[in-house]
Amino acid sequence: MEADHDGDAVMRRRELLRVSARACLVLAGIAACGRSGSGSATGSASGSGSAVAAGSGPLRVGVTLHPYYSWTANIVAGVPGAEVVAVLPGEIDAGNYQPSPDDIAKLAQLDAIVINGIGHDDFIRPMIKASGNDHIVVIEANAETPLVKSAHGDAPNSHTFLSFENAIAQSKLIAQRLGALRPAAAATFAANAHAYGDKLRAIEQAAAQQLAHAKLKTVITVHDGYTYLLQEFGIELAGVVQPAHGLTPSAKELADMIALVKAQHVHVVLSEQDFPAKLLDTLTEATGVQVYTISHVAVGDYSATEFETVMAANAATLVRALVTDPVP
Amino acid sequence: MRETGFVVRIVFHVVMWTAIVMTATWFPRRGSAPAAAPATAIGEIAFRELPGDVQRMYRRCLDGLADAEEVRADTGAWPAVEALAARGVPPFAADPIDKAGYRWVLRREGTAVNYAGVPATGPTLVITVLEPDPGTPIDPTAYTDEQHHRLRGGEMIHVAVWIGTKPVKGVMVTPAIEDGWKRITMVTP
Repeated sequence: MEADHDGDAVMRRRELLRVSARACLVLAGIAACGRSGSGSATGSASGSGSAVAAGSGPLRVGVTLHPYYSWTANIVAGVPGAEVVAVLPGEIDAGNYQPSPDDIAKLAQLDAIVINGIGHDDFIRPMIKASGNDHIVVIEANAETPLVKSAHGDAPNSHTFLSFENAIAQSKLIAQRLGALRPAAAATFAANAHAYGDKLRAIEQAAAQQLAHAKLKTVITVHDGYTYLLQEFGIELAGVVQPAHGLTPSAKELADMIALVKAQHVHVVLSEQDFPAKLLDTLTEATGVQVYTISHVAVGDYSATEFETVMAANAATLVRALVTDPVP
Repeated sequence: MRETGFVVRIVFHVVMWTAIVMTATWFPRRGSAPAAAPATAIGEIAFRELPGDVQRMYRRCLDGLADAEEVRADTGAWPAVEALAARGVPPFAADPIDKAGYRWVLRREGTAVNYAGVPATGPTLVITVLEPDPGTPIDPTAYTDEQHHRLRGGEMIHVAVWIGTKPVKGVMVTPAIEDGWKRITMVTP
């Protein structure tokens, strides 16, 4: 009896050990999965300039954002068989986008895709996976771009594309990556990116000549998308109204912004087309600020000239707001 | 009683080891949260921690370096500051926004190349380039990053942008950290 009792105890111990070992393995597995998930979210499959298999024939390059369409269209211009494919419908801002089966189907046919990769198009990697396209080369436009902080919080500001200098640098990077895919066209891609960069630089320098004489040097913006652009022209950003992309500020946040405008004697607010007029009215009535509308190149028809056209208009608005309109 | 004690010990071990595994797994992730210090080494400074006007100049340095690299790839020589300025290439071209008054000079010695920007007021910036020794075979698999660029011909070069306040003496490959020079890095905490 004693032996049977001991035998039962041993069996129970073994069973307990098995159960506890399994529990540990499952928990360790969960932890490891979480860790690998984190890694893949921040990892860069192709953004670090790894060598890619060079091919020939047609080149279909997808893009996630409007600026990338313009840049890439300029880079591949004149190269037979090269085509730029906008993954999102033109009228949808990437910040409000929900993937659709039609858009996922577009990805299946691509050789490469230009993505933001730092928070502006987080939807794209699951879409690529769902498309089954395992040969697509992902070009992270921000792979070599210095990133400033967001206005709220400490995360990198993903609006690097709203900038002349980033557009020039990132176009060159895209050209280099596409050149690795199609070596026969590499020189053309590089020359096109160079010419496009010169064109953008001319727009920037013309605006800089005028903004050097700005009567006002500080603004607030509704949208947290203009830090890079404002920095290029030496304009101070005192604050951002929206707490995050697409979010309407609360009554307290608006009150805080009114206090900030008054404290820093800000006279200019750079707003967006779709920002609620009532909130702007409250801000202007309370502080007397002048409101100007600029664009973050997020919606509209995709075209090779869209970026330079909208950015030239943005630069002209800055000149008007800070140089020509203010009364001394 | 013995069995109860055994079960308690098992439960204790499961909880303890789970806690250890989860802590080890999750804490590095939290380490990248906003409050964490920049992941910079001694002799480095994070771009995102710099004042806006210095950030601006650094971005212009990268822009100019890319243009200079194109010329180097096409002609085999690093372009003069005057040539870049004439084409409107920042930071070498006249810059109406720059209040610090940077003046740029090109210096070269052996495989080391410097574009040094000395302002009337503010920190000095030096773009350093180190070319491979002549005859170094091209490695098509080498990775590029903020310190390793590939010229169009395939050669890999070592590049950096340094910030400091001491006078620039000769051609620098790695400016002396003990003199206060820091490499600006794009690393994000």
